[in-house]
Amino acid sequence: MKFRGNRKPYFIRITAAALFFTAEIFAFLPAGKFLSGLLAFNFAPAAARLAADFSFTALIIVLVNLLIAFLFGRIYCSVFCPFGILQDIIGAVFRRKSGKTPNLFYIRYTVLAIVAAFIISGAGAVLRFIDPYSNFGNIVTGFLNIKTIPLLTFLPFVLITLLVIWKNRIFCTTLCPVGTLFGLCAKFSPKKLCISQEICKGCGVCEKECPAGAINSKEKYLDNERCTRCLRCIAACPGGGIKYMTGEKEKFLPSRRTFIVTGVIAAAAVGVFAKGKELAHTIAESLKKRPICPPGAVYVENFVQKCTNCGLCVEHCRGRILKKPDFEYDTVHIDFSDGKCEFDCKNCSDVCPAGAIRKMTLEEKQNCRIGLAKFDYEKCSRCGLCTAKCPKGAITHKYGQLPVYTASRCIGCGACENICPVNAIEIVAINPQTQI
Amino acid sequence: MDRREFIKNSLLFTTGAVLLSGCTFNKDSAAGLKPGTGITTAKFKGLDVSMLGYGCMRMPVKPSGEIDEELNRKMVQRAMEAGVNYYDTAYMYMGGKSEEITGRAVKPYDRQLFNLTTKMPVVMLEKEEDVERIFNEQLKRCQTDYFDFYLVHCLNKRNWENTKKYNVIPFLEKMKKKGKIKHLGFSHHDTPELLQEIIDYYDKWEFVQLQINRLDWKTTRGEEQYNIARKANLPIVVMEPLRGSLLANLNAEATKILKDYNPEASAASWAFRWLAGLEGILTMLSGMSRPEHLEDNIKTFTNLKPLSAEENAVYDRAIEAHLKQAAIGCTSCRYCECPVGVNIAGIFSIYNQYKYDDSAMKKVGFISHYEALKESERADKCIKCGLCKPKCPQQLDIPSLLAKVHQEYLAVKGA
Repeated sequence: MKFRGNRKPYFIRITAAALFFTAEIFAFLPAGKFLSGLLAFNFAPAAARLAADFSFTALIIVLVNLLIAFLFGRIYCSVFCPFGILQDIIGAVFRRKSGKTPNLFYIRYTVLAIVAAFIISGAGAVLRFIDPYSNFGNIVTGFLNIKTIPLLTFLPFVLITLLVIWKNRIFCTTLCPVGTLFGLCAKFSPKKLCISQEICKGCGVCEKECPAGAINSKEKYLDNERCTRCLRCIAACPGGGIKYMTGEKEKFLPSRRTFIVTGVIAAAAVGVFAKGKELAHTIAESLKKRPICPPGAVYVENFVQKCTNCGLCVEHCRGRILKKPDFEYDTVHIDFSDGKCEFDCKNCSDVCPAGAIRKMTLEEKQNCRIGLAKFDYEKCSRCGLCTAKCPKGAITHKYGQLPVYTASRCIGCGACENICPVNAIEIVAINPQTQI
Repeated sequence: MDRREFIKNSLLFTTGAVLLSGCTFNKDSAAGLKPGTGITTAKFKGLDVSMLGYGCMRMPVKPSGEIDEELNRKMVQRAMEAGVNYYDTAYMYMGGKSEEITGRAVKPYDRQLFNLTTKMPVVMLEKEEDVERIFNEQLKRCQTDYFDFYLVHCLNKRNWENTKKYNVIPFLEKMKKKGKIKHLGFSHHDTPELLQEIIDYYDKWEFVQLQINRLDWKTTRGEEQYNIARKANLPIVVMEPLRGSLLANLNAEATKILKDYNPEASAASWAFRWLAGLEGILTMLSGMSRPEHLEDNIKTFTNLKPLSAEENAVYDRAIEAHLKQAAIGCTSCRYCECPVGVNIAGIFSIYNQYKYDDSAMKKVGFISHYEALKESERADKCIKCGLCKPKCPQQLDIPSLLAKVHQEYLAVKGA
């Protein structure tokens, strides 16, 4: 690419994006746990958390994000959003230049309205299909566990690659609910990125560079609602004709069917809002088997609705027992076959950005019952290993006799199931989780 | 139309819809309705308390399992009009939703003219501060400034220890001085010995709630408990008057005996009238989950008459016939809350129905009812952890009973 304009802002942005992107990937690695707080700054999990489990941290994250979008436009989309940067990378790999991208604002608003209605009515699970951060997490955890994960979970990655090849950042300008919301903030901002009517000679270089299709060089118009602030246009413009200035009066794109569309969107939103709770219930009911959820999930039904399936907890689970959704369980769940819930670890509670796993002190976690042990005394070989491994002293054993199990002390950590040489112990899911 | 208008339209439309739906919630908020009269009452410290108490532990539920609040509101309205003025809820009922729903249902009525009762869930206390927190939460949930009757809930050995340990009684006494509690009592679920101990421990109890009914009279020492309360001169609030609907659904033989004597009267009405023969009863709590139950009770409690000597003999015969068939003494209070999700009360109720059924179809009915339960709720999912046992007020050995039911199911299915 040949940039003949002011390249400095663009390179600063690229550097910042690269830094954030590296940090965000690194946060998924065991050593990167200290960076998991960075991921909590993502907008969608914070918004979901706000609706599902109010916290001031989440409120502040949401408000700061909206304020930044209002003041500087959708900087988030090009600098912070890992899914956006991923699209830039894919775009660069396939050397995509944007063609004309239509402004499909009715799709965008419909998606936003429906997603917002779902979140407010408590069915946050919908985020896993459309939220950029969750999909990014899904892709990263997919690659990190490439040997054990079914190929189907790569679907989001394949889809986004195809979208980028088709129209570059079309996901961000047409589907992404977070982007749409930021776009609305940016649109009403006093300071905008504008094409100077005096300087611009209408060469159209910027339009070709814009991955979002936000520039119409003939009308010398830059749509701040769709602009993801990649700053390529500034770098490309040979005359320095694109700059931050006090916005001109917004040009509106009229639509013949706006009225009908308005009605449909509002009706859909109200309908979803009214039905969302029921839907949440149905989704939870449709789980084939009760999963064992990470400590702090409390009610399975709520957990399923709050978890956006980013997989951060899966990567940080020290016992490697947290698993991504598979064909058996449609949610993040525990599988004790590879290990046990480590008694002095609460990484999942620490890292969860969506508040699906509530924050707990280590003591709370150590008293949080996530399951109960079921003994098959016919299989038991009376070895007593389980007694030695139980961190809560819930199993006692005299030499040569069957172990005695005290359920009221059991937290279902799976240490006994994990050590049992004859598979006589099975941890059974309970709902809700209780503090003992 | 441009985009600005488009957004304005959406906003207006959404606001309108929200407002409209909001209006439907508020349509009958006229305050200060007067309850009616007609139900037989008992005197209590200057109050006329209706002998029929409205129990809020068995609210109507939709097929989806959700509480049918609208139906509940209508039933409360009907009860108020008929003259029921005692409403009994508790922190734990209906999975913790009962207080709020009851609070909303009685909201339209003049607070002076009905009695609202709730209870301190001692079983849930973990530290002393919990007592005040829960009490304030209850006031908020019920949307009231005071409770007419307030009980220490479900006292058995363990809960009584908790009551003393967390200074529940001094706190409630303080609330009584502040006027937030009018009358203080407790509900009891243990032996007569413990009942005596609790009564002796504190001399300002004003009433006691006991499980009294014709089935428990002899078998679980109900009579002894009744006598202790009478000796202490404490008015008695009767809970489980129908023993979790067992007395309303007697087996075929017992039903025939009752119907032969009086074809009009329901089995439930016999049970209530039997209780009416006892002295010192303040009110009888009936958890009515269908409008039919309420209508039947209103009929029974309008001019409530005790059973005559002749009727008593008939009732004794019917109960004897009923008890000949073995069944499980579960009252469906659902305090057991199985952690792995076994539907304990549902299973026992299906089993009891099967046991009391004399028709040729009883086995088919049992299998189909049992198999209508979700697989995750069935008896074989019990892991014998035994966490339910200390919670059961009827002191049933739930895990072995579940195993028994499941074996019977396998036997019937195999045959």
